[in-house]
Amino acid sequence: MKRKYFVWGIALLVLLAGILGYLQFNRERDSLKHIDPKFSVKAEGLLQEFISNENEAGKKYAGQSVILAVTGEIKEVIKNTANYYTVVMGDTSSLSSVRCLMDSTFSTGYRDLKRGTTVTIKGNFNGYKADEMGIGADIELNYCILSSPKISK
Amino acid sequence: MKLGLSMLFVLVVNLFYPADAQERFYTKSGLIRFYSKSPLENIEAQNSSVTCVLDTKTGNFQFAVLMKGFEFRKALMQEHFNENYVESHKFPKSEFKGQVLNIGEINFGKEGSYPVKVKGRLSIHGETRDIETTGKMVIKRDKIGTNAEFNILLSDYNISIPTLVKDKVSNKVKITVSCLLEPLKL
Repeated sequence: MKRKYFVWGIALLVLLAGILGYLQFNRERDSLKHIDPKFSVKAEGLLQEFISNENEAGKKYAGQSVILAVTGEIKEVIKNTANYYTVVMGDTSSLSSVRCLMDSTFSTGYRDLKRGTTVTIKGNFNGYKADEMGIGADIELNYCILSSPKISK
Repeated sequence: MKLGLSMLFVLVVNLFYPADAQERFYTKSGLIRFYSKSPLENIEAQNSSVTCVLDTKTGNFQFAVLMKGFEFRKALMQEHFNENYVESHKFPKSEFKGQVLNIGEINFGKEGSYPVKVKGRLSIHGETRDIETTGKMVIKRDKIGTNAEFNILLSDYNISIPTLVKDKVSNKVKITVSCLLEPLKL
């Protein structure tokens, strides 16, 4: 009798492990909507941190998933050939920017964002591209969502 | 008088405007995709933040991409890609520096599609290898569309596949790059 329960117990554990493994393997990325940012920064200040000392800034923002809330003025809103929106923030007189690739799940309202508007965008920090091609330095974030102002979908 | 001053202004601006700047085209929103067919599961991802510059005079062609910007459908795959395969914390950026070999055959003043040959050095995961491929350039109004496709071997770039899945993950990866370049106005 005991042996029977034992076998059933093992079978149940194997089944549970299989289900958990399957769910983990097929897990989709979480939206950043309910995740608190690790740092809240101004777009131009963030750029300046990297331009003045890339190594130090790199260490400060290191990690596989570092969420930033960046506030700045919109320079441009770009829709690329794959229909993804990028909101570009920073000083309009400079080629350097903070570029936020918006989360496509929430993308319908981004086309209405206007140049010159101050926004706060929450996104996953991807890294820094120094100005090696003569077209400005860039900080890139992805899976971005607009924290403020709120836009209607 | 006003017209004369405007013309003088344009003349002065053109005199001090770097000539190569007018011949350079760029984007920071290019698209790169990779695809690997494997028995376990096909692996594919894309990155929509490719920085790319083309000099139409010299044919110099360069693009760069941050590895953490590759987006996968499955979160676990993306985590493994960054942590175990490309080690994006150690090697955050990949880049290509090369040349369009037949740049002289492209008439940038005439709309159309032109076949191109590209040769250069591709750096991924701290390793650099020669790459030569063909592609297409499409001239439309003041923009240049570029498309290229090539294969790489993960082993060439010192990207090791864990032993457990070695037979199930392909060493060969197909990379597609497409960019819509605009004139660089400094």
